Amino acid sequence: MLTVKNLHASIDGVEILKGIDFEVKPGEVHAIMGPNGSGKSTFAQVLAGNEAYEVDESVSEVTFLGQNLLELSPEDRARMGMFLAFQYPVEIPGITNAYFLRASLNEIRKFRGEDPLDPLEFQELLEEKMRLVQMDPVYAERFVNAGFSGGEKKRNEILQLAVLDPKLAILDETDSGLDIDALRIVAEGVNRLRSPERAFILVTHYQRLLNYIVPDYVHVLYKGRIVRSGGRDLALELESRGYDWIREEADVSA
Amino acid sequence: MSHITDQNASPVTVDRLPELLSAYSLPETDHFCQTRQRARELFPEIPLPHAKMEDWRHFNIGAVLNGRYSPVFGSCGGQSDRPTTENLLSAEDTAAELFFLNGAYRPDWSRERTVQGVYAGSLARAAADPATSGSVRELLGSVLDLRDPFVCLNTVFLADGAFVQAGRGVACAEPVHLVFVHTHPEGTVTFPRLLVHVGEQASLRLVITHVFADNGESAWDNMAGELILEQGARLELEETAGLLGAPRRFLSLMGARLNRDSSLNWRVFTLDGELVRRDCRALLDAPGAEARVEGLFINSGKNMMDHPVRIHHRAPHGISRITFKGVALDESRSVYTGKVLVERDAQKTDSIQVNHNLVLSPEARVETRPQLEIYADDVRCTHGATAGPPPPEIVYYFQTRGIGRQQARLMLTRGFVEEIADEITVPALRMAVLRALSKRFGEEEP
Repeated sequence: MLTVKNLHASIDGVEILKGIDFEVKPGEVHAIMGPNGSGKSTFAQVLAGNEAYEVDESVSEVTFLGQNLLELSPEDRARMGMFLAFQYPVEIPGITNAYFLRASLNEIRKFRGEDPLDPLEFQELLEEKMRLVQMDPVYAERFVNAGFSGGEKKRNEILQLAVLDPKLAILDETDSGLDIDALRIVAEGVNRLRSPERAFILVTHYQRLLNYIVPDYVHVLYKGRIVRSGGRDLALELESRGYDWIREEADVSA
Repeated sequence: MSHITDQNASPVTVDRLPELLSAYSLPETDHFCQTRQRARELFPEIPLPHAKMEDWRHFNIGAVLNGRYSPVFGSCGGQSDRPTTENLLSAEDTAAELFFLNGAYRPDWSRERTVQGVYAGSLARAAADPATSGSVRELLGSVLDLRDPFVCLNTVFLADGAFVQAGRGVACAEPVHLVFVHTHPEGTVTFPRLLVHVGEQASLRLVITHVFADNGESAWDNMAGELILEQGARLELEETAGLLGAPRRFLSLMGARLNRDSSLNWRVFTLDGELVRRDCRALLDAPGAEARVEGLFINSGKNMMDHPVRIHHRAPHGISRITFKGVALDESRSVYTGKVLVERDAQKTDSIQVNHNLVLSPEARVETRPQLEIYADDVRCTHGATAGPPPPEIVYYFQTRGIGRQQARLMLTRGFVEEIADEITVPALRMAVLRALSKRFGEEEP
């Protein structure tokens, strides 16, 4: 589904990603872990198409569903089925959640050659998905994230994920800033959305989230490279030993 | 130097106003004779504004004053049919619907309904009627300063206008709709006038629609209006320009005076127009008064719009809110100046002023100048202003949800402007303004 080869990316002339190789198949859940500043969020943003980052296209190769991802605009990536849950979702005054999500879903449907949903059809879908992520229906008519608490914003991202039904969902530090109840609700939402067709990339600093969403693979990102990959056990090892041994190993081999 | 031309003779300058007046054929003895006379004597002594004056620094007043104009009143060969306003506000939904053509009342177009305790009609007629003449004499000119050149000029040519009065304790639930039709050829100027009086504990809803039709290139409309709210009175005022036809040169100066515990909700919309300055002023003259001024302008092409808003707190426990928004497109020039003045006696004043501008083109310019002048020491006053394009991080967020940049900007703009339009309390008008905004910034319905 997603193949990343030798991905190099920089921001303001500073190279952050220094050759990432990575592959995701349908149905898989990958966790990307790593100490602060290792490039985890950059990786998520580059996949989503954030133009603040410059990808070195002479060496990098990224294919998504058989297409050259680097040539696609962020909106086309989304329309093809990529979804990024933001670490810091933006507030959008003046636009209600329902209106925003319907516009978004209908763009994606248009791209797939499907008819747009009218407000009533959409309302039904939205209500169903709001139940799934245990969100009060009043949030449908609230402006997107405006005045939401940290937990409400994250839950709203998961609601969008549920409505937009992507093929690949990237969750950027979705666990940060959540208390344990909010974390559980978000994780439950994600677990219900797991399916053989849908893949997840969970970007996280802490192992905590992985107690609730069990990944198939864990990768450690350090200084812009994946320095170690393994199964769920690797996350537990990081939890108990911290990141120092990773740093030492990586710095020695570099 | 300003020139005002006689319709038939050669151009005359402002110091020859008497000749001009005779050519204007105002009634020799009407109830405004003395008022006009005072203005006529004062006008030559008032310095005309120019670009070096602080208040006029950002507005191209020269483009107005350097023109040559003949004053016109009533029908003058422009459009002579009653414009359709049904899609804006149906006459059935109003307490009265009054039309004014180039400043003159048109009873034949209007639909007067008798609501107990409410007068809505011609200012000239009210000045002649013993039942209302006392009020008119007392109130006309009591809010606006005659030493303001444009108020003075308006008064020099005062012949008629709109007068709306709600008597003591009268609650008029349905809105009174005033339609000012401006339709006159190039090189002419009109002087529409408005006087509104809301009596003690009375409440009134007023919708003012400026219709511009077939106006000549340099057609100038110089409007002056006064709103007086007595103790405990309440006025809801929605005023739109640019919804039906675009103004050419439109200067409007509206002043409100609020007595004890009165409240004014004032919404000003400028949706189109070439050279527009709409001055909104409120004086909180007694304790407990509350003024809310909300505004929205949409400026495009090479047009210029200026919205100076002034709130003057003279007495304690006053509340004022200014929420002004602007959308700047193309190569437009926009100015917002918000001035809140709190006098020494106006303790416990509570004032919030915000001005947000969405700048959708790199060639558009927006000047935002919120100002506070406070002489009392126990007040809560804040102001904030922004001007810029839609934040890129928000546009990017839309993109990651499959919504392209262009549509994201449209949706954001619509959300931005609808926030003010949603506040309109007259349902039909709210729908009309929302429809117009959606037409202007409408993406396909998702």
